[in-house]
Amino acid sequence: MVFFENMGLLALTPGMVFMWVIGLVLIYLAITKKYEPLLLLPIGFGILITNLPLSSLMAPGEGLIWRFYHYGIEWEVIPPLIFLGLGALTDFGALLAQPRLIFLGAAAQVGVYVTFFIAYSMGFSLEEAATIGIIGGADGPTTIYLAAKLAPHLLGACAVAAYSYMALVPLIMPPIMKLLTTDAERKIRMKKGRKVTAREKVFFPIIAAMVIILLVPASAPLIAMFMMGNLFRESKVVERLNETSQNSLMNIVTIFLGVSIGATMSADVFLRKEVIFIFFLGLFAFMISTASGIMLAKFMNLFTSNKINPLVGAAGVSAVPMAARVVQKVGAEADKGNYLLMFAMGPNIAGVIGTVIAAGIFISILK
Amino acid sequence: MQAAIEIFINGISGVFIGLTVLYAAIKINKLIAGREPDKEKP
Repeated sequence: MVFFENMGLLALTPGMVFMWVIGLVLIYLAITKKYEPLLLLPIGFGILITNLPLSSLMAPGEGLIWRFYHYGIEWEVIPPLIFLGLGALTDFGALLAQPRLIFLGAAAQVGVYVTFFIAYSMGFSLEEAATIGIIGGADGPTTIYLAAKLAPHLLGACAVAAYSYMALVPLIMPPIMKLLTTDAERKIRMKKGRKVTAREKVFFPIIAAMVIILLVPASAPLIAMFMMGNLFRESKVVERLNETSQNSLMNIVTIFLGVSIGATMSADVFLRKEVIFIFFLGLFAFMISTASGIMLAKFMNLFTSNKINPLVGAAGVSAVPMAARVVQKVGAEADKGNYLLMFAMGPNIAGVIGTVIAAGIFISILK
Repeated sequence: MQAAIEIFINGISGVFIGLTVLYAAIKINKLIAGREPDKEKP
């Protein structure tokens, strides 16, 4: 009977069943543990359905999810739209009040480049190594954007690694923070930053977009959208656009992003030993980024009387705002009355910009 | 390996240069717009 001959069940492989388990684990973590549920839930479901044989969901030119993936990610539409929403959600006040903290966001990119170098030494191509290294920036949309441009076959693994480690920030960062700082350093109380005017906040996205795109043109799609979203927010004259960017648009593109990424993770692409290396290297990148932010803060303290609490340096990895919250928590463990959250938001946001610049540099050299 | 070293050096220095210029831009922005305009007297 033709019906039986066309059943997907007959084309099932053990690899597909294994991928179902991975998909179901992500769905479980999203629902039960609330680990990045907005992304891990559609990613998990995407993994599940793409590994149902003969479904053709990812068949080039005809599959439904292939269309989401092709027009959304390969055409570079979704990551910049996510950045539009992020810009509308971001308050640059903390960074403008204490601009020296911007360098902590730069230091955190050291992990990206160290990991890039190690990955290349391990036999990955330059493009693959760059895609793996950028996981250390802890910025999901940038990781996806770079992977789609340089190493699309690693997109699923790198995206899941990035979002998994972002969800695990409260577990990964504190041991490194405690290892690299003394109790006295963790108790440092930072001086409150100056008041930032509304005009400065309006000018900043315009100036920042011009400066960064002039320096690193390849970062334009992400930075332009990021700063336009922020201009919507700070101008206070387009509340409808601001609200749409932050909520409806962001939610819509998140659905397409999540399910498309999950659907790239078919058994034949994902079940390779390189993927295990990617997860290890991604974790390594994340740890080095955390450590290098802390170390730069300690180094800056050698030259200033206005001390920086080195814990704040750890927030230089993007993972907004989770990384800043972890800084607040670890700081409060040492000194209950020490409020580091606002200070940590500065390097946290600088880390986002730093990761986009790092990605732009990779693209401009390798593409 | 030569290419990887080049990307490594260009990358790290590029990120620091980029954010240093942005730091300078923030300082200039403060000079231009850092003071609230005087409120008009009624």
